[in-house]
Amino acid sequence: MSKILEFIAEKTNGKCYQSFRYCADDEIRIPTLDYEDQKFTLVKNSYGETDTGLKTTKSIDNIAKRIINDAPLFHFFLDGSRRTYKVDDIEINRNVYPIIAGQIGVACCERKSSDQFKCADFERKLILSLPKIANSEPNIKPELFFNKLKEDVNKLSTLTKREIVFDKILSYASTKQDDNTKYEHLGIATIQDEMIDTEKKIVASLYDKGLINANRFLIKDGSLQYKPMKTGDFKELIKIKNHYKSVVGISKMFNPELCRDNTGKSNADKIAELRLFHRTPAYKYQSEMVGNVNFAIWYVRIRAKEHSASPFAGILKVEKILITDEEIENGLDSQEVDLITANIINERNPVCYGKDDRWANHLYPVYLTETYIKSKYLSDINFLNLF
Amino acid sequence: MKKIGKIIATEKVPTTLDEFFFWTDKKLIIKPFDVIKVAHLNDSVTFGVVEEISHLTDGASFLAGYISSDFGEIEEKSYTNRIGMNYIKARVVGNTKNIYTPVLDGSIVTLADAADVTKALGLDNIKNPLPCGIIEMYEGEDKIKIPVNFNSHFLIGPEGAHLNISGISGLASKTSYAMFLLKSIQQRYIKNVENESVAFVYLNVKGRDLLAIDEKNEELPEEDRKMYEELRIETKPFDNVKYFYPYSKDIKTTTYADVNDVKNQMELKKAFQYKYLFEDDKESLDLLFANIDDPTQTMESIVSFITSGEGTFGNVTNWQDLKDEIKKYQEKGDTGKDKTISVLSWRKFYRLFRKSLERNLFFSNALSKDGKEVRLQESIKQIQKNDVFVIDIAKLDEEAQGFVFGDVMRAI
Repeated sequence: MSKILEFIAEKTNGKCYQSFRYCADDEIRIPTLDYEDQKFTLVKNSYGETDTGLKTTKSIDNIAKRIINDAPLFHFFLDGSRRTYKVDDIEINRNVYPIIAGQIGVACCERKSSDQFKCADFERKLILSLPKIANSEPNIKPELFFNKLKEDVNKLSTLTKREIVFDKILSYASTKQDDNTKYEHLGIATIQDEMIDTEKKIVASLYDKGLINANRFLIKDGSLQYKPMKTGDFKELIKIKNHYKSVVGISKMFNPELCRDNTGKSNADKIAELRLFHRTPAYKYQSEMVGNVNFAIWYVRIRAKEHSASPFAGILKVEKILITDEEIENGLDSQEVDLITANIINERNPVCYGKDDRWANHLYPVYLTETYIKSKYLSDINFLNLF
Repeated sequence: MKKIGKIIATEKVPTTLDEFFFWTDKKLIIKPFDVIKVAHLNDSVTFGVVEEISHLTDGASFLAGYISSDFGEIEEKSYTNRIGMNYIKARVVGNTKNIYTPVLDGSIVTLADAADVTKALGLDNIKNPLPCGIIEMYEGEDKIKIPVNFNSHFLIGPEGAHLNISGISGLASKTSYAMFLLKSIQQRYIKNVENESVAFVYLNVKGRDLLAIDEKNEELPEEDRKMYEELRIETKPFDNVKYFYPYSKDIKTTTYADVNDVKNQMELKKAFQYKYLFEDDKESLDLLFANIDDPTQTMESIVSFITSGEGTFGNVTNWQDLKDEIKKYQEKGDTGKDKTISVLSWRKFYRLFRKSLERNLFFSNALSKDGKEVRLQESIKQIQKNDVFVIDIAKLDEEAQGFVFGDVMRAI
């Protein structure tokens, strides 16, 4: 058994089983599409934009062509990803729990010119996730125990000679779960939350430094609908929403079943029928999960349907948080919606065709950011052999 | 020095003893044969010479490129250019501490300064240096120029005497470079360095290329002038030049040179017309047939027969009589001729000789008394150190060129 697992077993009064180690992302895969959005509530009979007369789709082609020679609106591109692994099973108090480990990578890249694409901020973290019951000193706070455990693990020669450091040891609920919830999922969820927290931290940092503003927007790959977290510095979106004044969330994959117009009826068919460079009206949504935060959400097609493999290929879902009271009341200024959409349209080339199956929906700067993060990971074999 | 990239060693393309790859910014201008250096083990430096430059992007296929232009729109614009870089293949030329293990992935690659390049290419410590040109490397503010020297003992002796100049035909650069080098040689030796001396014999084989080498170039560009200064070569033309033109009464029949130019040169006693006289030059008759196929050596036998005065050739005193005498030998019948050489051979010999005699006006009986006509052999035998003789054969036919060339070589 590896020294790390031995050490953890000793400190948690547990017993490790030397189980088969594997990458959880490949093995614990639930066969669904990786939708990036969550369930949310449409605010009926209200609009996400000021132009309430817009009932059907709108062409943004002319605006996109007009502004192509201007400086782009989007300067920063944020993406986060994680790789999780089940590295062992540990028996504590006659129950067996998985030990989950993970690598988190969150990068924000800046486009300084059409030829200069540099990393503006990057964080890579190595994380362990243990059941809460592994706290063998219940008289002290779990955070303190696991923090101390992390420091002790990092002193092991297995890690020091490789100059590898674990950033955190997180804990997941070890109470009995219903049949549908596995401990592995809980462990993975803690690592996912840590990744999201890191994303928020980077956005906050850019905002505080004044790097993102009305002329320098950030595209965040995926939804902005962060569920409230129990821990972390950026627990509740409502408290940090100001950071997202100049941030747009763009989802490549979205659940068509959640597409609704402002009367609450499904408009998935209208989205699928969107013409090239057209957008839908922006609607106002409120997510159950994130509390009292409103979003303007709309869709735009950036690739011709005849070049697409499926009805929703080439369509992006665009989200922006409504910050000010005026925005919450009346929606986003339609000119702003048009400008954001036109800039997104102009980001459609070049493409990562041949490198990524999602090429039709993948914006190239986001793809570069994603590639950058992946290049920084330790290989699966390298990581698993730490344990 | 300026850092330009880093070494890449991959699973499929490792660095080796002989070569390595490194990436650079796609806008860096660097050329084949530029020298670069890499920090290596034990604080040593490995030098490399650029062999090939490739441009690489993350495009998966040509189709990706086409799709990225909105499925074939040439005017399509985008905010982001596809990420790309140049990678360069370089050949290892040396290491400062003789460490030849492959350079390591991630090592920084820099440009070299003039001293580094001189060392890397083995241009330092050249004995008997003779300026032979300048190497230019890099671009813009990084540009460097390194004077290059040959060891003159290996260029024109005594250790060796060979130079090979290769280049695309028609660019007039091979001849120009040869002339530049000869000028450099003359300048060095005209100062009587170390009691060594050189004389020059040029054969002009094309147009008027070499028929004005003692005239100053009034249009020498400033850039060229600077290069001469860097090499410490004077921008003067050749000294002590004499021109030798094949004889013809009107001059222009046998040379591409301007008639007036030739006359002026002759007035200045810089130019002469050369002739071949029977009594003195009959021994060179074999050179007329140097390019003729003679597997049974019958032409050679005839030449030998004639030059040794055998048969009736002992009484011949001029080229015309020689021709007439040969004519007799080509007739059939028993006329007391040598029976070892067949009539057919004589006929061939006569045909060829007659053609040469009629075409080439330099076969003559006597030289003029004004000193403007000479025999090449005599002139070459009187060549002095630092003399430059230019012998024009451009307008002669192939056999005559061979004849004159052979004669000159024999004289030398």
